[in-house]
Amino acid sequence: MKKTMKHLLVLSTAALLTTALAACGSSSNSNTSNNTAATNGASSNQSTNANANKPADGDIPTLVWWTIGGQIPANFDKAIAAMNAYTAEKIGVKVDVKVASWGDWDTKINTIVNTGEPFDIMFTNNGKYNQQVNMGAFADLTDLVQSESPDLYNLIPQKVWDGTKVGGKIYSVPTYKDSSLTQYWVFNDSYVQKYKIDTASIKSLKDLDKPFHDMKAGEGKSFYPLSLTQGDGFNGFFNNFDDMTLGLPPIGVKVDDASRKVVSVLENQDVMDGLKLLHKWYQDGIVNPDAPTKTEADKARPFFAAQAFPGAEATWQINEGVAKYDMFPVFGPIYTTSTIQGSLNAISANSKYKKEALKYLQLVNTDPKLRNMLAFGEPGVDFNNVDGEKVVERTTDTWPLAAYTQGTFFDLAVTKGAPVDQWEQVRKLNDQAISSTSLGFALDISKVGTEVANTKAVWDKYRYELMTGASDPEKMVPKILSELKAAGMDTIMKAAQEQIDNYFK
Amino acid sequence: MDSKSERKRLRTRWRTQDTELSLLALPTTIWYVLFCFLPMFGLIIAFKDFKIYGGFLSNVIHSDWSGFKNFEFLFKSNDAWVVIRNTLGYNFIFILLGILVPVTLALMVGQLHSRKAGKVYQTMMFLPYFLSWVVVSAVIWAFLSFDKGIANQFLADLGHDPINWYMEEKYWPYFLVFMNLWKGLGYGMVVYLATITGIDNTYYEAAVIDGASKWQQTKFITLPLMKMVIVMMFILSVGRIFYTDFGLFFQVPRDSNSLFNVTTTVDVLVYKQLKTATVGMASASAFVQSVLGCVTILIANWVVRKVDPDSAMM
Repeated sequence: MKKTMKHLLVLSTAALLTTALAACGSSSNSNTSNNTAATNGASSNQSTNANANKPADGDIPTLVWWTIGGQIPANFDKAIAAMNAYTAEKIGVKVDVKVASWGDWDTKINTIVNTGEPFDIMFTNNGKYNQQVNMGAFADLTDLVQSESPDLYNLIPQKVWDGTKVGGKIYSVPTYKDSSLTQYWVFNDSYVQKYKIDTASIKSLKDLDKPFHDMKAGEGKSFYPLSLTQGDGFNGFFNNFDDMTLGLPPIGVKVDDASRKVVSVLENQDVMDGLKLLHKWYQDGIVNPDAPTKTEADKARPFFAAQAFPGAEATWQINEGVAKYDMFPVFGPIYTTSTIQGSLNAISANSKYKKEALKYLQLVNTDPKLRNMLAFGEPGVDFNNVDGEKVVERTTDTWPLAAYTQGTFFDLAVTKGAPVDQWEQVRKLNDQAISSTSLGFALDISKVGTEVANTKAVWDKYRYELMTGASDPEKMVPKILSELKAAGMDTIMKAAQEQIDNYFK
Repeated sequence: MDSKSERKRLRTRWRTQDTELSLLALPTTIWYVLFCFLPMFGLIIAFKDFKIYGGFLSNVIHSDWSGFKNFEFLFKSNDAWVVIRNTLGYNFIFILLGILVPVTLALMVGQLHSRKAGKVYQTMMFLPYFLSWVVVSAVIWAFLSFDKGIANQFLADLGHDPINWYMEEKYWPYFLVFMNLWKGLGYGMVVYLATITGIDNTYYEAAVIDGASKWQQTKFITLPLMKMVIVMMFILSVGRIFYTDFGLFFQVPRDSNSLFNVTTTVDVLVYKQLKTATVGMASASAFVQSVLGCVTILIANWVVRKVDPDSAMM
């Protein structure tokens, strides 16, 4: 027995040492993937154990930027190389953009943060940010952003910086875009003409009932006017509630509630009526029957709801191959902490290049040329400049990166077909936006971690079917509520109420 | 007790054979060290409040101890017992059928006169094993989709109402058991067939001279000689009773809400926790899974040793 213990000890020490050595070893590998990619246009996504902290050639550092996007096209590396050639000359920084697909992003980003894989910049949002900051994954940029990238600091309004603060400190660079939320409903124009839908009179869910039934009756059995997916449900359904960046819709504060009372959202009468209507639509064949298990949205949907801004239809028309979309706002514009945190780029606490990363983000936010390459792809292949860097024409629909994840809209070109003053209109929306009464407050979940994990697990068990109308809310909502309460929902609500009262004292 | 001379006397010379066998075992050994023994140190995470300090190792080392806090969540959640019930229940059925059906089929194939036909059948049964669950789930989708699926078309032709398969709990236990059997059958047969082929023909010749029927040959020669292997396979599968085929339970039901109670197993739960909860919590679930698995394998072996000491592995 003694002997085996001894052997085990030796073995375990050896094992620990090997892993430690392996870790050291990997950090002395230089990152060559970019050079090869740049010179021979090698295929996409070489996931070598690239190490973010080693200059690629001589003294130009290459930053690893993890972001979200679609399928990587063949010319991706060429496009990034073109970008790098430009930025290397301009500020002496290159990037290696790594893309997690829309569906994998959740899991992948968690894994990267948890395993301490080296990265410099990471796209994140309100669903993850709080937890990641709590874990200590991101660098504190409060002073650095002012000393290293003053232009960036001055470009973004104080209100938006405040929305990213956790415990009074800045841990990420927010994307200054349509930082207030405006909810739009979008119809495919061909159906609007065919069924004489008067979009101007549509103000609420109830007003959608007639057009949907008309479309269903006219188009036949296997046509679904409202095509939903499990992840999204009916987009924007809970807009009236500020979720305090918790990312758990059943708990929230009404955006216009001056007393800032934390409430159980599912018990709200309007929410319940909306859910009943969704369920009725599901039963009437308005919603696609496979919605609760559908993961990818169809292209060219006859109707969808989305957070957007004027001119967004131009992009959708290209991406979805639809001749014309009619969109009209139904809610907002409104600022909440979550809408501001809808797109953030944070810098790793372990990055050796924090200053360079900030410089790069500053350039993204202030230099139209780089901004357009990031948003549209390879110049001359994915897009052509029509009017300098102000208007571009997109020639492909394969570019995987989403403009909203990168940097401000206000130095981005307008896509041909969208109104030329598109970004001015977005700016106006931001200026007109009312603020949620809880703006600036973000819940600190460090003390109620178990309850949050449990309630989220319960919500995940039911939300696909509830939010697509597949389950009957009259039966399910009481059941969901009792399970949420068993999982510690009341504890979270109590903690949230205390925190929010303290914050606004 | 002169243990030194004792050991000298027992120590045999290292032969060439030993070298060859060691080399043969080397790849597997390396694989086990890398993917089974090294990750074990990660179990520490289950008892830590995991925070980021640098590389992964320094995260593990510097994070504060949190005792059993990560486990709290697992046992507080209402689903813990549903999930454990599913894991054990399905595995119990899989183990039973996973021995019964392949052994029966192996005996049948072993009886075939034409070796060629036997090989063909075996290959056919082996094929599903090479399909990934993702592909299989897409094929099943083509069958069971509500408005485009073959199954509902068929029902409609017969004048029945279509069924929303992905929202009906009651059918799924049967589906899953069937799918698992369909996919693992060929793979399970290989070992048994090899055993049958390895049995010395003279036994059968002697039995035939004594006038034994086919059934008697099977009962008194084949099965007793296969017993050892069957028991070994049984113990091995019992040891994995807390592990399930993630692809089967996650991909095939398409993460459908209605099917949660009949399709969620420990592995699926751990995956979902990695998505929403913390690493510590996911590690805690995995830890419980490993410890219970270890206990079950020891118990199974102990039972086997009581019943038939020759068949036990330890």
